[in-house]
Amino acid sequence: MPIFIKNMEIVVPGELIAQGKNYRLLEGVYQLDDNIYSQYLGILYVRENSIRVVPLQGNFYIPKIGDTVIGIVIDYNPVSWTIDIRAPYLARLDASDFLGKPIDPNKEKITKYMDIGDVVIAKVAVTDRATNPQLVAHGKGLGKINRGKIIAVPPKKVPRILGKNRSMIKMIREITQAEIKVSNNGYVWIISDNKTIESLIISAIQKIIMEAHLPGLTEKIRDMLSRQIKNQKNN
Amino acid sequence: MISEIRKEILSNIEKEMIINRLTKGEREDGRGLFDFRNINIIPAPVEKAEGSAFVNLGKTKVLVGIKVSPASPFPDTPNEGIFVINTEFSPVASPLFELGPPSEYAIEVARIVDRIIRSSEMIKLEELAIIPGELVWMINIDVYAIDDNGNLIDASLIGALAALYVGYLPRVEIIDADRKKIEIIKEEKRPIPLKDMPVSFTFAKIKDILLLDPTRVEENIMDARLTLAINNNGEICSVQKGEGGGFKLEDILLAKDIALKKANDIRKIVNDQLVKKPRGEEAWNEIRGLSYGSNKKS
Amino acid sequence: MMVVLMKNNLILFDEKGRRSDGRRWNELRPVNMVVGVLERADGSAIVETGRTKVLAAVYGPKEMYPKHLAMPDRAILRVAYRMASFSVEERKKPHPSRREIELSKVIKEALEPAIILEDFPRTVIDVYILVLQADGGTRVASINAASLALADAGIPMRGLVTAIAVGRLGNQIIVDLNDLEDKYGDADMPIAYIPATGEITLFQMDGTMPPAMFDKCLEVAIETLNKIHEFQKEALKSKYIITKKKMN
Repeated sequence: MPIFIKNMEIVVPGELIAQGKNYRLLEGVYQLDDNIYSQYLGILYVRENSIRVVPLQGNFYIPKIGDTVIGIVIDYNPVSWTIDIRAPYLARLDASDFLGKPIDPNKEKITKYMDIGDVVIAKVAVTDRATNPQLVAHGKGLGKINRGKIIAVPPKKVPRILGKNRSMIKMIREITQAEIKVSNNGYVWIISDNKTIESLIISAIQKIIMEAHLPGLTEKIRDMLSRQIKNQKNN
Repeated sequence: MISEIRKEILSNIEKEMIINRLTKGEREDGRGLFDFRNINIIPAPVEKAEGSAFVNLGKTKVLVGIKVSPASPFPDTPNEGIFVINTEFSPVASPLFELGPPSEYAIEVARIVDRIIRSSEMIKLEELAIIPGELVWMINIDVYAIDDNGNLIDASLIGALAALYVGYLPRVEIIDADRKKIEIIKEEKRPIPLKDMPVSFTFAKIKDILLLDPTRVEENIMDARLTLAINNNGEICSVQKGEGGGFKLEDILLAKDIALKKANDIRKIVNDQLVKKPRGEEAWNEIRGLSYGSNKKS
Repeated sequence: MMVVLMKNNLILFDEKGRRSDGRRWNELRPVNMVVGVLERADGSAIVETGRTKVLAAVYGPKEMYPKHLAMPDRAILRVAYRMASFSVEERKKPHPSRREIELSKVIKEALEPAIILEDFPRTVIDVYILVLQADGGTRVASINAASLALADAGIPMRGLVTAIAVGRLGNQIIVDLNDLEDKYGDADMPIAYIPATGEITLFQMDGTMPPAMFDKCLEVAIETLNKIHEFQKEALKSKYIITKKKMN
């Protein structure tokens, strides 16, 4: 059963990847008769007999239950906020899922807690084809964000920023000693008192985004960061 | 309702950060408060037009095209030509623009550009008569927003200037003046008669801070906007205040000083490019270079 | 024997078999395709075929408003094809003409089968096409550009859509009609096709075509479309292949 394209090659929508009915098709590919094609401009990953394509383009996030997301409040009603999580669908966060207890709209204004423009870190609790994502934001590590710097990255690159078994992000945290949270919907939240470290982390993230499709990235980033932090210490 | 929200919502964290940096005189792209972004003009890319220009003001892009046609003059100016500025701000340039007739904003921009060109008397309308009293040239200047990353006003004006500077009128043979019969000979061209190059400066007021040439994000949080135009004589030839906030008198005087000081520099930047750069098909090499590389600094 | 073809004092085909712009019957005009030219749009591309230049911008998928127009099980595709006023000889007024409306529709129907709309219920994907300069073949250039812009936006597709116009001058089939050939030729046949699935998704004809030539035209079209498809693939990959080369 032939595979026509090598692992980690770049493919385009409609590119013929393989022929045969015994492959395990993961995301980003589809089958027509015996032929397996890519759905995206992306990187092909072939492992044993599983095939997937990870898109290189696209600024939108596809919500999945259990994901951690960072979003901006863009609207509200007496009992819930509408949150933009960079998905094709707007998300809803009920006040009771933010406070951990029900709110009485007659006694309290929801804007006491969050208003338009506020940023929140939450989890996707419910989502399906017929329903917009529903979020929950009470619990450890969740809630309104008041400090630090948030940068947007293409959601499709989040796995690369995290790395295999979170190796990349753990390495960056270790070297920089900064608090860094990466949300599944493409935000990186950096909490560091040191402006230079903050800039270094941002440069590292940008490099990962640019070179996501190239091998040896974790090493390159480790070297880059170690060098620059050493320089900073010497100056 | 998302469709009623005209501006994109910026997070409060980002707003705070931008304002903090601005109070220290720092902008997100590293510019000074009163610096223009990089002005890049690609002259005459559209050969079917009688003048055109593709302008990059930072990452804001506009394409301006000129079409000329014979028309009846206005009754009160029988020997003068006519020019019309039209702006098309379509969804190509921004998710906030809608298909359909021009919005209030698009019309405001068109009218600002019109006033600047008119009051500076940039176009020598008296030299546009074909059959005096009967037939004159009408110059349609159409500004298409291609990518709105802030300050479409100045980008549109620069585009209109550039298109006019490389623009031309075809030769006309008058066959029968009484019956207004003419023949247009496209191959023989003369430049559009011009005598001034006004330059415009659009400022934004964000809290107490005044800055020049706002980016999209700065426009998003600005309280008010002020456009000043300066003609070749160093005179202020147009003013427009926009958006819902207000300016202090000292802001206006400061803006005026900055505009007067920088007018000649901007004029030179525009002129140099119009003279030096390749036109027509060759100009497309540069447009192609925009691919995946909008972050390139020219 | 080459027959010289003239119409309205224009030589459309000379005794050496050259067309009004010097091309042979099956020669394409110079093609340039660039992807990712706009910041604001989610995906974008500029396609040039000779002097025809079009820009495509894509937004989405995003929630469809008003909600009652949304489809519960898939995304809706909307296409707006517009010509810049200065893109043609006589200034075109900004108000959409009947031709622009029809072309918007057929372009939409050419692209729809290629997009995996079922992945995004209740949303809309918007494609905006602006013809910057028109010299024949704007609808096919638009389809080529829109396909690239959709891929640039990361929208899942069954394949790219590739398009070309073939036609006839007298007894001679021609490929990639320019403006003169469009206006004065004997037939103009724009075709769009998804090479991955083999589906023809746009097919129109203006003029007349004898049956034998009709079949040959389609054959020639598909051959040409496969060539143009290679340009599209290259344009999409070029950003990433260059980075790879730089690293090695």
